[in-house]
Amino acid sequence: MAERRRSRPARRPGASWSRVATALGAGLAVLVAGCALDNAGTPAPAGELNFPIAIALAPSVGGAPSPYLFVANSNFDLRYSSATVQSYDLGVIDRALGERCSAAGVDPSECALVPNASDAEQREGLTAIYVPSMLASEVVIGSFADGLEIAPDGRRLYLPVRSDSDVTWIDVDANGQLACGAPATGRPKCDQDHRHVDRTLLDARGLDLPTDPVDIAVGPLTALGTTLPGNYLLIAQRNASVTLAVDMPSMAKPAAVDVMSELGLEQVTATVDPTTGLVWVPTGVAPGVASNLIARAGLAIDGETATPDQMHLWRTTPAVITAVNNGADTREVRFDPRDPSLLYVLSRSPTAVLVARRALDDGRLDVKDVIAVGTGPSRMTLATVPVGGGRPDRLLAFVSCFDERDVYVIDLDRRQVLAVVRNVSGPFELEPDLVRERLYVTDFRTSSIRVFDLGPLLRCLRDEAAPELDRTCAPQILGLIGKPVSVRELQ
Amino acid sequence: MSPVQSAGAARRWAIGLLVCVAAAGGCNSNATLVQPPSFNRPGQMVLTCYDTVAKHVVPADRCDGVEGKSSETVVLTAVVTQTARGELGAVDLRDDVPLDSDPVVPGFTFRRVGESPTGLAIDPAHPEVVFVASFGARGVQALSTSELIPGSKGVSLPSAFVPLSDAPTDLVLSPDGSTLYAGLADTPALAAIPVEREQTGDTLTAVRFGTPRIIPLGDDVPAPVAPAPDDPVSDYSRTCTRSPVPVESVATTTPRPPEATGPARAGRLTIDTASSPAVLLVPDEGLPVVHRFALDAAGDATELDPITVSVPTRAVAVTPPVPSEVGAPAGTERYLYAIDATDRSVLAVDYDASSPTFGAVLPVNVGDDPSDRIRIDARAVSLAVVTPDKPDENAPALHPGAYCDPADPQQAKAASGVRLRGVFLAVGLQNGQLAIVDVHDLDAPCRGGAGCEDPAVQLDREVRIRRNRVRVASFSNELVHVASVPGFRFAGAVGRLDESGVPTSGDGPGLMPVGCALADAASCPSGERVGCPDGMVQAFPVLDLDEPLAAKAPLICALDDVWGARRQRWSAMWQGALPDTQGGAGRFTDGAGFSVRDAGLCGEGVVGADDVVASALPADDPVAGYGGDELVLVGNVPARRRDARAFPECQRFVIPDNDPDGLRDVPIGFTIKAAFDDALELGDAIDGGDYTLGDVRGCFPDLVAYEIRAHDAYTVVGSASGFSHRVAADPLTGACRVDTTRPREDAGRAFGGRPFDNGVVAFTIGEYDDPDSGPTPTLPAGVEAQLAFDLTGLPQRLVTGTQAGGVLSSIGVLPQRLVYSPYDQDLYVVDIQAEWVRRIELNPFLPASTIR
Repeated sequence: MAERRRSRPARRPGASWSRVATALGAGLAVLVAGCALDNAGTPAPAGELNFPIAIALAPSVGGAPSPYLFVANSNFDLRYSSATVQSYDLGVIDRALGERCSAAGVDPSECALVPNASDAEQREGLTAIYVPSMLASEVVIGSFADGLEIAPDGRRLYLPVRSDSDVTWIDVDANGQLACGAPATGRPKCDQDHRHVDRTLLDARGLDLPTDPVDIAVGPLTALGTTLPGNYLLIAQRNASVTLAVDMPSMAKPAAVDVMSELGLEQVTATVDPTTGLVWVPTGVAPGVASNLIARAGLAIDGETATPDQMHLWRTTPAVITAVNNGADTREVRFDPRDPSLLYVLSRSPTAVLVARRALDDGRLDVKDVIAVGTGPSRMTLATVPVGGGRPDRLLAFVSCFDERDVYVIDLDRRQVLAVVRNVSGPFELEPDLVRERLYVTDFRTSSIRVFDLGPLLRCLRDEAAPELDRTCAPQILGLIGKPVSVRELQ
Repeated sequence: MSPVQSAGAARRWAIGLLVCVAAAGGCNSNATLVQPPSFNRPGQMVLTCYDTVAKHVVPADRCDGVEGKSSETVVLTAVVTQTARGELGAVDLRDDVPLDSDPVVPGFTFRRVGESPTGLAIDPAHPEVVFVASFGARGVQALSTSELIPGSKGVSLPSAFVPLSDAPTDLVLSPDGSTLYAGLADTPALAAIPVEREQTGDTLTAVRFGTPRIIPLGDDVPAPVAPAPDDPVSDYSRTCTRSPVPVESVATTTPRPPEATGPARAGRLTIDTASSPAVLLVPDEGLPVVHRFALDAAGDATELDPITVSVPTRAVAVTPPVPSEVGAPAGTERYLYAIDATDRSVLAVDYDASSPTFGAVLPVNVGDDPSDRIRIDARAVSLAVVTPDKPDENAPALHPGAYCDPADPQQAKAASGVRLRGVFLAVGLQNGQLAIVDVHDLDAPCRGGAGCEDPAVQLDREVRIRRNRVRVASFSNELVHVASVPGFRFAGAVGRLDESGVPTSGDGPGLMPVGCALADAASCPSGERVGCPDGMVQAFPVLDLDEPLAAKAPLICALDDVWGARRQRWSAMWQGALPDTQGGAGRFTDGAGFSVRDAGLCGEGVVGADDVVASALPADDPVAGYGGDELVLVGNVPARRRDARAFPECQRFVIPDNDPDGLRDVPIGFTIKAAFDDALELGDAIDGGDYTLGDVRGCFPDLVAYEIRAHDAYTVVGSASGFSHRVAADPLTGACRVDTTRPREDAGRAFGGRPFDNGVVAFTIGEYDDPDSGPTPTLPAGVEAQLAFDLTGLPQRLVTGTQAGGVLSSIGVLPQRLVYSPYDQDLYVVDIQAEWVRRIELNPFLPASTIR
């Protein structure tokens, strides 16, 4: 079973270079646009992938394949006045990839499925095939979404949206339809109510909701040792803050509860350790500051007496990464689903997955092992893979390496790189679907989703593939969702 | 202009600006030449020799003594796996450049091999073929070395491949070249693969593989062998010192109980070629043994008794025979080093087959780290034994002139800690550094001068060379001591201690002479001496090395062992918090209970008064009579209890919003009667507080933030050593108990008027002279007090890229493999993270070049 990710993005891929250009561009855009401030701009076109920043799979029910893939587009270049969240029908896509790409003699790496008839085309290096029903639903949201998390019951999406400085929440039905206060006419668009959490409690506590949300971790309140219904939301803000919110059935909308500031600069993602109730917030490299700290805060959610006004965050020591060179710039933390005291830290310095025990000695996080990956590692997803034959399941890590344009597949138990998927242009978020034997990877550089066949990898793990010199265990490309568009600045 | 247009224009502006900047940069005549990296996650490396005239590879010993001169006609050449791309690349080690196997294609082209190469082997005597194990292809491949070297006219053989029953994790070739041995990923066995060569005359025409044979790894774990006590006098060492303290031996000789972490699984394979017949050594990543197989002339492997090292291991290295003492003419002893797979520490094993303690893990360390591990302060990832200036690396005998002659001024002056001649262990570390461990130093006789008199280098007065210890790199003429003077902060007064232990300001307690619990040394009880504990040297007042016997009474003593001691800051804070005992999810429960969700209190050293009693400590135990720790609330009263009208009784606990530090002036808390991993039984209010448990519980009905502090005691923490304690949860009751089986030196609490000794530092904080009641071991309520001092004077150890002229920050990022070349006597570091191979010269130790 694939372990569903607890947290999502944060820092955008390509940020090191593009931040300069974006900052300059945004600044100039503001200056120039000042001439026409009443111009609402052009909304994101329907059915188009535009810098997809995050993805999430709908939960699998009863062992069936995940039916929908949800995609958050970021509108990273501010080409449009808005961004979108899309719901793709994976059954339709899988059939189309099988029937109209490799089986039809089209090179899978050049075979793109598009939901708009006008995008269909065939030219050298690209075959864009119109698939009418692949896009199940789409809603318009604010620009610069920086993550996407789905509620454990699969009925609600949560997105930190930086242009709103808030969290957008979208309801999902069993048919993959998205709803967030759609207007009476025109394209479905999230209304203001769905683009902001309830701040009543924050106001009462004299707290402001920090700006620049970069990631959100979502989980059931029961995972924190309570009997309360609903979900906790833990929002990481780039500049040293985290916000606790809860979404309970008794509430009209998610409510922000508490804010803790003065954590880490350039925060990237947030992951909650269910055992201790601590949220771990890795930090990238801030200008002039390289930190080997992973900020942490405690979630005090009292299951015995709690109402939201009794919940709070509490300050604790950061985890200091030691025993490696040099431990600064970490991107993601994942806890071993079998033994949460074992954790995996995705690090850019060194570029590796760091294996560590949670036991701390004076705040030091002692790294037990280092598994090298490619340059610019950005995101990591864990998946537990049954291999049969009476052998124990394997815990795999899928790691996107944006700068090296590769995806690494690691056997965490063997501490061994199993395969490297090369030439993925701009890999960022990943979602393995072990039932369907697929791996979905956002390609930020080309505004598309790459779909890979996990079959070769699984056959290697299950010893079903005969050894031979040319045998490969690497997932193989099946095709793309969306027409790839190269963006010069990100190449 | 629409936002779309404006954004596009802005982007073009930004790009234009960057282009201008780039163009301006291009005018700089000092523009940096960027060499595109050609390595991609290099993993393993083997060496061969290339004849530039004949244009083919030749036996490796043809490269003996190469110096890398352009006039030489043979070039030491490396073959390196590229793990991410599944390639093999060759490297010219004379010009330090990778060899592009296909110059027609832009960029570097390396030879494609099976996916995820995990093992590499070559026959030094017949290097025409290189063997590669592939994890992805699940087999072993043979290919012509000539394919890797452009322009080579060597034989071109058909590639061969043999499938295996399981994915290979490593590969070695028997010394006679007849059999490959591969470790297997999921099978508790090795694969032995026969290698068949076809020749026409002297020319190799084909290489074929025979049918692989499975060699099971036995699961027997013999009882570990107890080592002989470490003896600093008779063991190999060179010590010149003015310290009055005898060099301490390591007393602990009890082997650890063997502990497996899983089924047998081969680690990195090593062949001991100095034994006859050669022995294949297989560290086991699951079982606590190192397997041994004798390799006979027919290529068969006969299993020998394994060596029980008590822990699983991932890599080993063995020394050639080395002398038992400095200056001895022949090698008589051997050592095996292994990386502990559980914590990546390095252990040393007696590997002399004739020794009665063959296979024993040796005691090699004093101080607060385990005695059976070489103290390196970082995790090991790779090992290599290096033998610079040792003519025949495997021969026991040394030629007469091998040792440095102290009578020869030139030789004597050249000897130093960064000059490596003899036998050493190189350890690649997870933090990117490299450590050198002493085994046999040919320059040792010259260090400190003949008979430790009149050293050739004046600073070389304090010489410490000991086998199986990290090599000391720097010259030194001082002992460990306190930097400047100790500070004693008391009630806001920042005082310093004079040489009699009295604070220069404030009226807080100072220090008393070590070893005597009374302020007046003259009135010490009969038989109790004023002096440092065994193995420690006076660190304050600083010892006058020229007249050590005239020293004043010691106030602070420190471990006099350059390998066990650390430069660090020590702090003893009155009622200081125990590290990592802060939590935010505490709750007052019924009665005197307090529960915590973020459990683990025993592991952090928390004890209650009843726990101390129940631990049945002897009267002279360091914590005998201790009244237990205390719980202190650090969070504020919840908002719904702060309303002064509704809850007036809670107002005294509220921290005002405008409080500058958010802390209470007088802490709220309770003594701890009994502690468990996730709960406390509380006692009375601390500091004479006039509130009850019920009062506090009523004002803190929700989860509350807290911390645990020592009660009526000082919390002693070293910046590197941390907080030591002997507390563990009772397996039956879960209660926190002092584990009396652990060394008493694991002490973390100091008491006024009682000696403190944790094996690393020792001192005695005096009693407080209360104006009303006279001397007392406790301080007034609410008073903050802290003793702090820094230890210095320890020499630089040869860890990291220490050069003769300075220190590099590191050798690389992750030195995955270390390869010693007996041909040019350099060490090569394969760094999978930095994506380079770095050449380290050893005499003197100097990173010489980087190939990427």
